[in-house]
Amino acid sequence: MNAASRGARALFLLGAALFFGLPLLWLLLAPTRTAGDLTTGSPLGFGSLGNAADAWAHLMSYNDGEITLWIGNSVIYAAASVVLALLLCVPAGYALAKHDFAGRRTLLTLSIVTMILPPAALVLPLYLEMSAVGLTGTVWAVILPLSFYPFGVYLAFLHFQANLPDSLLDAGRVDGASELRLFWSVGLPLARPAIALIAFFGFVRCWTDFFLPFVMLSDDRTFTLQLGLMSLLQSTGAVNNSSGFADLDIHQPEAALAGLVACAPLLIGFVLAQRFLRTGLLAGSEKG
Amino acid sequence: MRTLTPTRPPAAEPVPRAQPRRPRHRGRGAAVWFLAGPYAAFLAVFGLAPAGYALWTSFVHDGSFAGGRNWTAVLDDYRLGEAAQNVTTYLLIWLPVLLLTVLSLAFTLHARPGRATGALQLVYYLPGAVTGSAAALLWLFMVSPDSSPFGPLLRLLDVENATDALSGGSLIAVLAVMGVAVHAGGWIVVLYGALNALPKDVLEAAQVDGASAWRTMWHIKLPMVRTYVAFVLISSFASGSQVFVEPTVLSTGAPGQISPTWSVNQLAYVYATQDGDFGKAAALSLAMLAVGLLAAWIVIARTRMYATDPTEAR
Amino acid sequence: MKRWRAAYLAAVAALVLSGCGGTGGGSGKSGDGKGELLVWVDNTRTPAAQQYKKAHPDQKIRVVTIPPEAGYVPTKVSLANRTKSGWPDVVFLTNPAEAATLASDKFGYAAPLDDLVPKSVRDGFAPGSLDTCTFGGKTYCLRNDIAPTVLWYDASLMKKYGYQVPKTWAEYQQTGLKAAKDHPGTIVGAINGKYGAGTYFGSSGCPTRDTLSLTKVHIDLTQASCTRVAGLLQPMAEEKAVTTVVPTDPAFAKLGADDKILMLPGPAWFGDFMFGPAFKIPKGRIAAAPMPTWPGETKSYAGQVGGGAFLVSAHAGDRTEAAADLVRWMTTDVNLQAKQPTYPAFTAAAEKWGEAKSEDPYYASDPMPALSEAANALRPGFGAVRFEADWQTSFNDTVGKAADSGGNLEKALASWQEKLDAAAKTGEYTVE
Repeated sequence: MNAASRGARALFLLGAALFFGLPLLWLLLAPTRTAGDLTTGSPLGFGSLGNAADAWAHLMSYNDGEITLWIGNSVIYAAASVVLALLLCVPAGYALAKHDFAGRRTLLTLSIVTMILPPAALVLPLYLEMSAVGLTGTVWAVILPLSFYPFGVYLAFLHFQANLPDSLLDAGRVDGASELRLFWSVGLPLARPAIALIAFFGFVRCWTDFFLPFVMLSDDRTFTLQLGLMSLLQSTGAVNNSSGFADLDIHQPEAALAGLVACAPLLIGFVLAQRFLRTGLLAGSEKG
Repeated sequence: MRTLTPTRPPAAEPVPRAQPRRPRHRGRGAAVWFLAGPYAAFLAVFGLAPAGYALWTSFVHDGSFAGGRNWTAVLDDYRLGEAAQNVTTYLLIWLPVLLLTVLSLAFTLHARPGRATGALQLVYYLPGAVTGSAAALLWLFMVSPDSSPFGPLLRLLDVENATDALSGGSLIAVLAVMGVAVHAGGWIVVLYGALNALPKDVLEAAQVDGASAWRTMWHIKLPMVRTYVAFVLISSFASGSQVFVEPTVLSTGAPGQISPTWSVNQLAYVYATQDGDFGKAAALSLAMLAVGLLAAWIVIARTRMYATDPTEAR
Repeated sequence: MKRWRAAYLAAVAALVLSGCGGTGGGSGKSGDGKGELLVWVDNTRTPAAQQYKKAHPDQKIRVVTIPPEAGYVPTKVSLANRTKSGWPDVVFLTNPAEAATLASDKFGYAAPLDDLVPKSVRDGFAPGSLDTCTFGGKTYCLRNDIAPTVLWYDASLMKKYGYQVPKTWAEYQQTGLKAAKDHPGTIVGAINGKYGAGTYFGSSGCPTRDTLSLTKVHIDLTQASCTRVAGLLQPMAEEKAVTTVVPTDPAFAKLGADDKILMLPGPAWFGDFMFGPAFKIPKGRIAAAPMPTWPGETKSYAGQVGGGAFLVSAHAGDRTEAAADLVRWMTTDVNLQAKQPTYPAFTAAAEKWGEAKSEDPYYASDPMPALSEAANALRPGFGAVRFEADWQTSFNDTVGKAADSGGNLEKALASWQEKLDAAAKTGEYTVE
């Protein structure tokens, strides 16, 4: 690669980084500035850390620090759904990729169908289901539907299909290992990158999902962070001054800080997932 | 393009292509269902049953069977035409730009993986991590020339204020740019991961052979990650034709500027929420599903066709 | 590899643990607790509801803070309608237009309050303010606060430029055109969405959303009360004396910072929540005057942009009395209402509320005379409709667009009419 094309490549990558990075840089700086400075100051100015601390104190003034409760709720909902989704997706993806059984094709097709079904169609049926078993308003009404994750099954399926050679399984079978034993000792150890990907995308989905909690939960104390923040920011007019008239000191810098709090776990999740993915999807099978 | 030769570089000949393996083993029933059974149960309870019920509700009005009444009511809704037109225009702009962005960035990153690769991927993912009301604030300020770091660019495009940016023709452009910023990062990671998983010996062979980076990409890498690109295409088409978050987020930031039924999916939500009309919501959602499935079928069929004749795979 | 299997086992354990830990949060079973009054209010109203709860230890009350999101209450109510349980007994609406949805036959949620709240109490509300809640002669909600429009202006700028505060719309137009010419960039009004439609067309009495009943609405933009607004705004839009920028746009704040907002007819809450916090206009400059008068009239009429309302559930059963009592207290208690952020709908409370406002050093002069005059002169014919959102966007698509591109506003009214007709029909109204 010559110098010119190397330069062009770096320029392209950095230009893209600028485009993708500037919005978050703005968001990162916003809590340190005042609401007035946001509209009249220079776009990427820095205020003071004191402002950011004040902004946090203001956020905590909403319903006696309810925001911490929402963070806790979100962590519980997301953790439980992701774990449950992994327990369902990884074995299913393995079975779909490595076994031919009646109903396999149907299962794959239906997974794709449900994957792209618009949520508006599911609101009422899911609510009625949950209501029939008395679970509306409880954590399970959010956790159970979210742990059904066809996208994750598809990822696991693709992964096992591409990266788990049949020869490996056949060798195990010759040794007399049972099918379950093969999954446990051959399939699962190779699933590392798939688990990382499914966990990450599943976590993003649970953490940011809005409509399901919106429908299922009707007590602000059980809200997720997304739902709670919407409630908080809309009722204080932090995003636009016309939406709410609380006496609380919650304005644009507070809204930006709330946004940062909400996206921090996603970024941490990204970095963690990246560590497992860095060596590539094949890393596992190379060793195996 | 001028370097495109009709023959594939010799290095590509011995590609040990991961043939789509047909699962060989008639699974021992019990074990298979132990593995896939729980998922199948969830699929039935949280996927099929609700979908079936939705299909049923789409034919019910006021508690009794009403035939196609909901469907015709949806088709007659004056908002549907505008929404469908908006979404079509959006897809025409957003989908190619998104694909181009994802492919070019993933391939450029992979051409020379380095220390910064991981960091850059994180940066590309950043806008996608900001959601909800905070995203409304963020994007409102991003399209306000006076307070946006993109101000000079916006002025160049003759946008004087956020109201300007969010009305008329510029709205679709804003939404498309926002949609690319939000969605590209995740797909770049997936595609980069797939590229990284390609057998190293093939790529090395290509390099030894002196194939240019461009040709390596076009003739070797792209065909090999074809299925992933198809997956990106199917998912993106579905999510683009069901665009909901971007217009909703922007209208939270500037209420009254963007119609709450700007997109088809938003219209379905309005049926389900404000109107409390699940029959219509279900009918419209199923129609959207049909469009998504049709597109998926086309993409799958086309990629299969490519697979039977690898020289055609461009 | 061992590590991975260990992690998998740990995952199972974590699931069990988190599931158990989580159930504690799920105590939010709503609705049918025996005798428990379920109250849904927004964050601003939460302390008052808690205060009521404390004062009534005999009555079991559960206060829930709801998001002030469009569609939240209708969604929950229609789901509750399906399962025949979970209705809140009292609901606060940040957007009273939703009353039209919740009172409709399809939802059947809002209870008529005519027999639950004495007429003497209802008569204490600002005249015409309960029209929003009234369909076919029945009152389905009580207003908590109202948003009558006044003519806000920058007293310092007016003085500096040597202008008089206009008394009629003709004077307003003259002043606006002069200001735009002599001091480029200066604006005297905003015509965008509910701000434009509610302020100008609302004050003129143009029937854009005149509800005759829950299923009938009167829309007729060919009337003189509509065309005169188009005539008023036409030259001002051409000379950019009125802007189509929405007041919540950061660019509008820039106008304020640059001393470009000379006058801005708008709702009462602009005084406390826009000029200072959003537009950054320093204290001692903003003042309020009554809305200018229309030709042939001597009384100044106010339009409306916002305000909240309380509803009582038709499913409250034996809690109905208690629910009505809470709503009555929340909307009419003078001391409580005097402390609330926006203009109280109950007249006696508004007077008390105004005492603090009169002394507010932010204003150049006491805004209360203009505000209370406006509250007592709400222009009739501005009802709660199920197509509120489309009412706003269709205004921007037609009149707003024409104003922006130098088109003919009166012609734009015809296309606005078309869109309103369509929106009303979709909202299951017949248009008259």
